[in-house]
Amino acid sequence: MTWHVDESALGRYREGVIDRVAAASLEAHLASCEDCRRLVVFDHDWLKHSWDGVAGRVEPGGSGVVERTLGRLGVPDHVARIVAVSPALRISFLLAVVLVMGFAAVASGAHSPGGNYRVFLVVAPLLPVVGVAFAYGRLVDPAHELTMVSPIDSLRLLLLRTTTVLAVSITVGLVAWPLVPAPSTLGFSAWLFPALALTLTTLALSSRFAVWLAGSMVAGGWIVAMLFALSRGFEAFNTRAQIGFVALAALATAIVFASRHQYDREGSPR
Amino acid sequence: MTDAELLAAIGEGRIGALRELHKRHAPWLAARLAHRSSDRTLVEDALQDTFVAVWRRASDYRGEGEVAAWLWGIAIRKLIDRVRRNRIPRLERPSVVESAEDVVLAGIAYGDLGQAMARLSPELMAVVQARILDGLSTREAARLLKIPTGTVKTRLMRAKQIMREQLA
Repeated sequence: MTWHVDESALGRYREGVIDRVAAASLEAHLASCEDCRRLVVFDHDWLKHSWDGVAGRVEPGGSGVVERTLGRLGVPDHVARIVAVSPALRISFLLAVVLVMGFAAVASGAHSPGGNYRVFLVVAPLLPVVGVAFAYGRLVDPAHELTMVSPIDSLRLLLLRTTTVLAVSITVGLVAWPLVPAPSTLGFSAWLFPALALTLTTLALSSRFAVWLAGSMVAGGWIVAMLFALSRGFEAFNTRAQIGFVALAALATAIVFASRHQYDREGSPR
Repeated sequence: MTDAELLAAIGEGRIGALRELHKRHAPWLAARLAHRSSDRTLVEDALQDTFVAVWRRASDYRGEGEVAAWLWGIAIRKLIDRVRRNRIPRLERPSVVESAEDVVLAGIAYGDLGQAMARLSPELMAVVQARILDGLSTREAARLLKIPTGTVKTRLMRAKQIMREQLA
């Protein structure tokens, strides 16, 4: 390169007061000359603002690693993107799950042995419900617009996100479970089956209601039912109850399948 | 670090590398985009789209040619996407046109081609800019300029004819 642009010409270029032939040669030069590109003046606040916009879109999950890993495993790009940006993978959700489960585990252990393990069993199954209910929607989802234009239907998307949320919750649950002083007759399934049943019921209700509403109804119903059962001395977590949870999960799955066409793009999952 | 090395680091998922690339290239890309659309918001959005696309597609860079030119190729297409999505049509219009003699660019001789280009009407120049200088396809140029593809073709033909006559 035998010549370089002078700064006054660059200034006129930026202000748009330059004739188009000079603009064209200046542009051609800028595209190939690093030194002259550095001469383009810019506002630092503007640059930061622009970068923040980019950063907010490339790392809503904290990193692109998840997305890349899924991509390497053969998951299609748009699916990987949606899984990666779902709030379940965001640090805040993970932290909340850890905190709540930890709290519930400690709370159940702080009292007489065997007395309050039920605290954990009441609270922990709600976590995936909350995750699913709020994993989807304009308010909480930084990628909502991306989601709406993705070539993927609403139900599949909801199932994808549910899977992600469940994976996170179950992992944390597995870690927390040994801390809970539950009777030895109760296995991890005492937490897992209610969690699955509640989550699937949320999905089933989502065919008719917005997901957040479905989640709220399930959570409210669960809490009321548990308070009622515990105050009356019913055992809500024995083997018979677990069979009931599995049955509820199966019923909910059947409803989701039967009403799969009602999860339209613009409709229920809002 | 060179730009190509930055792209390699971005391909490995290093956000710091993307930030450095953004710092180096966002200013001039923004300035050049602003010469293609007068809508400030569209330009800002297209600029962000560009770096988001780079984050996902850094590995598409084959190591041939200037990274800057590759970036511009993405940026101009992101601008086209934004223009197409935007309901209100806005066309780039050169606001003030100086005479070529007023512009002092150290060492540059405009040459006959520059003189020939200076004779083109703004409409023809816009097509030459999109098709020849920015390397867009007929369809892409049509979207950017919001004119039918047939019009892009005829204007480009007319522009070439005028320039040929000037150079003859």
